[in-house]
Amino acid sequence: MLVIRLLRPVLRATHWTPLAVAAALALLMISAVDAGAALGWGTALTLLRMTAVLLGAAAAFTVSDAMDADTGATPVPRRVRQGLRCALGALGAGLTWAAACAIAVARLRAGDELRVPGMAVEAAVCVAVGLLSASVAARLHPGRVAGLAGMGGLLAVVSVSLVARGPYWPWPYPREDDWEEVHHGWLAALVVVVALLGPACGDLRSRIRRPVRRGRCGRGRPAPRW
Amino acid sequence: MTSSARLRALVAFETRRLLRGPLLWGAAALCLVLRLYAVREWLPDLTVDPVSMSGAMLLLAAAAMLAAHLAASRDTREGMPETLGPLPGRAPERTVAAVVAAVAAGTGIAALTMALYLVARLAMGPVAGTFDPYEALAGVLAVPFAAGLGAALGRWAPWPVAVPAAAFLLGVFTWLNGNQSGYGGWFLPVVLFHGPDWPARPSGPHVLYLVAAVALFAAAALLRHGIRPARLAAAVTAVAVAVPTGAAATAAAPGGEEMNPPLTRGMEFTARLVPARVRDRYLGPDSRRCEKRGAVTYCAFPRYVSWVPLWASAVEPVVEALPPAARGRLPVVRQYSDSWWMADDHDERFIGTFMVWSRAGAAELGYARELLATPGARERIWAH
Repeated sequence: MLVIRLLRPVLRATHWTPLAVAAALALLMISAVDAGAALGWGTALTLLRMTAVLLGAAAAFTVSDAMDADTGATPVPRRVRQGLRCALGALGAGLTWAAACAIAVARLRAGDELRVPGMAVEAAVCVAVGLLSASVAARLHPGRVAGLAGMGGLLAVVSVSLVARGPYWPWPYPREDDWEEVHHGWLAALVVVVALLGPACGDLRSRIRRPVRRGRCGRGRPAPRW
Repeated sequence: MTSSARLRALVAFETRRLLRGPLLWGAAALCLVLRLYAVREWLPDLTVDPVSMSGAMLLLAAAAMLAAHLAASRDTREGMPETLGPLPGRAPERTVAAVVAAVAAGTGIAALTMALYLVARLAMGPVAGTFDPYEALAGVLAVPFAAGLGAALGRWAPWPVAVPAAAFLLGVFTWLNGNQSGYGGWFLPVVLFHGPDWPARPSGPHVLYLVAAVALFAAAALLRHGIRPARLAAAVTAVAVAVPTGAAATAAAPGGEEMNPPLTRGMEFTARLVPARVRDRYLGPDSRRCEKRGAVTYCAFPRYVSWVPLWASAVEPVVEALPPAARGRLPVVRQYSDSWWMADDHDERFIGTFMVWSRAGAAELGYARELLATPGARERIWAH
């Protein structure tokens, strides 16, 4: 009930411009690359992965709230407000990625296939990591610039994952045998990142501390009220 | 305070701020660590190492673009326009300070990162390949290119989404430009992918292009504050240098039909299909230098002769295990090029080795030696 009533004010307060710009850019790129010819599966795969990273960086801007530091005691806990912003950002990013994926599948060469469910989990993790980095940055520095931490965190995580060597590489091709195992790992990562969003969206620790004066007996007296 | 003293103070402030912050240093450390981790198993080949590091530098370039954008657009955020209004220094000075500081700090940190990477690679084993200093310089200059772009965007598009959008566009075009034919050609800051046996890249014109592009972005950022003759002249000169050098680099670069000749079904890959520039270097009769070590002859390309001792240490245990009668008819170990080996002649006279070699062979060699040293092992092999 509370969430429904919060919906309209939070929708109005959120910064939608970055996500709108990113959505336009993503849909433009997926439509315009190799225009006139069919899209190869390799190009489509990498373009959709890069689009997921862009949308994660843009959705991160929905998390930053310039009034956060001044919003002290409210009847609605911060977790609900921030959680709503994260959910709206994720929804916007998700819808855009789905549209881009639909365009890519429609343009795909005959006989090629893209394994969409696995790629959707990858995109969800990218968006979640962007939201998490921005939520952590927003705790330290409220303001629109905190959203840029989404891009920073996402680029760092993606570059580390590209270099990782082990039995499974996180970015397989659809035709490889270990696609299913790797994407079980992606699903686990999604659960972990979304779980971490809980504390990241929680209440900020109060910065007002009451000074305690210690008398000669060692027992503190509370500060004067004026 | 005179305006030049003001400018110097502003530049010093911005540079100190960039060098004290964790953004550029953190990105540089990440680039270096990730790149060294990715190549730790391979011997250094200086033909391709600077190029692969310039790809990793894109991370530092993105960080520099972010830092420059934030610095250049700082006076549009959080009530600054009202605060800065009455101050004597005006917006053009702040822009100059932000651009100069970002370009200088970015170049310095990038040069340090590239230098550390090359030194680390030199320490990783016998060095092969030709080192092109312009290639390393081009990798370094990609960072001030991005910083200049970030500063120009900071003045023309001060919204925070400009940086992720620009990074996305550059990233997509750079990736689509793989195999050197795609969108943007050599007008992009980094051209990924190089083979040790590919024709030479136009790294000299590319360095010139990058320097001109940095100047162009700086002039563009200043032009936001009004068209003045000096700024306009600088911008026009920069364009006049950047466009021809970029186009010349794109024309001279290996790519397109040269590297991917159209093949029809059943067609054999002959020497005629190898690019003319490299045909004699890898397929000609004088392309290899041969030396005899023990019972085996090793033929390597001139720049890869330093790897012969490592090939020898892999082959010798096998040669020692052979019966003496067989040692007279040993094949020649011959190096083939990674991309053009199909056009070369192969027969049972030759054992092929290529243009990469792993550093981690020591463990397997040690095991082979121990196995051959056990009593009776040689007799069992000779019995075959």
